[in-house]
Amino acid sequence: MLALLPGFTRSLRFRESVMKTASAQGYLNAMAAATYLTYKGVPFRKAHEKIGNAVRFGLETGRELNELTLAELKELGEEFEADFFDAITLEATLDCHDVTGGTARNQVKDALRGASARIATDKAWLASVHLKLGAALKPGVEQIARV
Amino acid sequence: MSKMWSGRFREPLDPAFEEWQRSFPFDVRLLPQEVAASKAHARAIAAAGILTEAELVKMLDGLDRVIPFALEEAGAVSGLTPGAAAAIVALHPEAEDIHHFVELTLTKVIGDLALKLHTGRSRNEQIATDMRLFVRDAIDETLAGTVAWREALVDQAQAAGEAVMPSYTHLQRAEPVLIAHWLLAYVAMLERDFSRLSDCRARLNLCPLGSGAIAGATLKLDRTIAAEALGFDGPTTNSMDATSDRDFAIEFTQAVATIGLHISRFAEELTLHSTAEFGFLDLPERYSTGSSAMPQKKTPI
Repeated sequence: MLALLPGFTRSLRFRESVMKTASAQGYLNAMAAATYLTYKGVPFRKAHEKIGNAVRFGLETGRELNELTLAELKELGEEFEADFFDAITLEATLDCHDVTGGTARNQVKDALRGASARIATDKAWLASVHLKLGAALKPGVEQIARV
Repeated sequence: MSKMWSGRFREPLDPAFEEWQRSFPFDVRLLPQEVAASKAHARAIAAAGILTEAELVKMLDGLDRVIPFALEEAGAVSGLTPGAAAAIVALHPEAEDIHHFVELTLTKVIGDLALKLHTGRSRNEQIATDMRLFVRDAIDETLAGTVAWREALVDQAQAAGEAVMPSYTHLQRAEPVLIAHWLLAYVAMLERDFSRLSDCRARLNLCPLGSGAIAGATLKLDRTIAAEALGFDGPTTNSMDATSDRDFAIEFTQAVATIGLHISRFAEELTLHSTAEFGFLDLPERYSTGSSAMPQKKTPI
């Protein structure tokens, strides 16, 4: 089964536009919004409540958070300012997870580098093991073919 | 009745019992390992003065010819496949187990010299050694397999660039993540699998040969000879433990079960993602099956 997985994985084709649309809807930026208020000095529990209210308001009026007006936001919390909208774009929502192991774009680039490096190390180790075994065990002993 | 142990026995075996107790139908899989371990043991007993240099050469060469000889006997043409192994077993009802079979075949190839091979040896240490070699081979293959899959995942992650997807908790959309980030989750799991298996490998890599039946070989063998010949890190330290221990098999099974879990998670996510409800990916036709009743259906397997 393991033998099938590399080929299978390489043949996957993601419908990126569908996935992007799904990512931009449904208030998935709410955590980023709460984080925005936290940086404005609002205690997180309060920020959570205010954004919860904003989501509720958005649901009732059929709008995403970035479609609310600044005036409407100010009603929900005086800490909201014009820079709120930049803080909840899709890119900002990704990049606010800027920790090791998080999905911020620069973090994922680092993670990919690390993963590639470890693949190279592990391949080199496997090759050296193979070499050592090849030297120890005389060639010519056939292995049972694995179906 | 000529078993490897029939010297002190006078009564013949009950035929049903004889059929039941022989392990050759399944330990035939250990043929390559048994040959390798026998060659290593031959070197060890030669160093102990049991074989002359010329006899050792003849014995090693004879052991190298055991598998080709057995395959030819069984009419197998494409190497030691499971089918060929089954054919070999069918051809040799007289062979009690893999150890017996190799000795019988070696006798056909080099004559009575073969009868010296079992000097200072026991099947208890042979099977323990064969099993470690078998599991070690399986580990090496599995390790390579996990690395190949990691590479495919990393390549896909790089190709995905900054493309995004929703992540889910309890199947509710939670937060946007990079597709690459999701793929790297599996890479993280596989890195642990690699670590677990290579750790298991290091732990099993001591050679039981020279442990005798339970109390250690009665011949004054240099146990490092066989250990080195088989790529082990050294001989085992206690004969009672070495001949009975199968911890490595349990550990290997656990590690492989965890890999199975990771594969299952991947499959499950992709199954969801490829539904019309999710619509996140196009199933590769090369890896899907259809339905004989429903013309529109494409099923992820």
